[in-house]
Amino acid sequence: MKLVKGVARVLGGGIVLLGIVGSGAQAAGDEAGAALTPEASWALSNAEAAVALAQSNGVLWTTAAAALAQAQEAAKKQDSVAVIAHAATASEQASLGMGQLAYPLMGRY
Amino acid sequence: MKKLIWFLSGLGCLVAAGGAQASPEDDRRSVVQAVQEKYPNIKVEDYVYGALAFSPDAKAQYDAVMTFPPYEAEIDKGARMWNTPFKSGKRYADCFPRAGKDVAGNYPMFDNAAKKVVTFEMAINRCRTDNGEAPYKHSDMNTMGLLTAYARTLSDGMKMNIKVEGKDALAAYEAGKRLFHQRRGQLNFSCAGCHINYVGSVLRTEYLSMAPGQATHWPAFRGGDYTLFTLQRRYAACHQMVRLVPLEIGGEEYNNLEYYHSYLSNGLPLKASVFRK
Repeated sequence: MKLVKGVARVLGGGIVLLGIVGSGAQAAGDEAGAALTPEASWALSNAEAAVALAQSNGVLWTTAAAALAQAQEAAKKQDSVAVIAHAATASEQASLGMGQLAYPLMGRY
Repeated sequence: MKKLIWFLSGLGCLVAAGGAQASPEDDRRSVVQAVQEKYPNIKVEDYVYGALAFSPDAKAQYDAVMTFPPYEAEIDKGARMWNTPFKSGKRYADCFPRAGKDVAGNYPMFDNAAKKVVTFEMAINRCRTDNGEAPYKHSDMNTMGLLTAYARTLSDGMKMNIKVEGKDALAAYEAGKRLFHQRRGQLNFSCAGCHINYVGSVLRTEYLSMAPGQATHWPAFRGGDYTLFTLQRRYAACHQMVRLVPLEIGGEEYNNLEYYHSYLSNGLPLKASVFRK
């Protein structure tokens, strides 16, 4: 029983230690140019698809295009946090542009 | 009695179906009427002056500029291009009826064989390719812009005469109409919103011109440096201002837009290469 408790303590400590070291390594990696996080990669590809759809429908806002360019620029610097923020703006504004297609038409016609 | 009810209900359906889609002429009349209701003192023939029709001062400045247009040398460049023979020995004038005089008001026209709208610029490029020359880019003001700055003056005084005949032509017209009336860009504006609903209002420091008459005076030399703008370049600039990524100049969407937009000016005289603020 003592052996079991001891192994558990060692394993638990190791996991905590690995967590600490791992998160530190991740932060250092982000600063030093490690790969994008999966969330950032997903957000970027999602934004690229949303912007491409809006562009093909002729409803792409300049602000959405600019946000995507910023996200792509941040991706080159492996800045996952910035990628996620800019990609979210691009995706949201691209979908708002698409939404305009369903608005009622203006003026007499 | 039953037969009468059936007849009346059938008639009702026909009336409803007929009213579902207004004809191009109904559209034009309706838009002109909307402007007339708001500005009954402005004559329809003065719609060709656009925003200048709202401001006698601006119109006086325009008249002064047009007495000796400072950009006349640019139109002369276009004239030289128009008159220079192709390698084939032919000229642009050989590609058009009446050597290109009084033709621009018929464009855009619908080509039933190709099932697409053909703008004057496309006809010019067709002339070039038929004579072994490379086509110009529609967005290039140093070639297509200058050439049309002269070529369209050959139709000064001609009345806009756009025809929408057949279901394919009507579909292209309807596509252009939709783009004109649909909100676009982050600012959520439509062409119709500014140039029909809020016509004559001041946006920043400028009056909003009326949609009928707008298509009659392009290309135009704009602003203090007389920058050359074709009609479709103006569409792109408008879209940019409402924060929409502009569509392709010379592309199908803008061609259809020009088709609808030009129809609204039917019956009004052309006057190309004018000054605009």
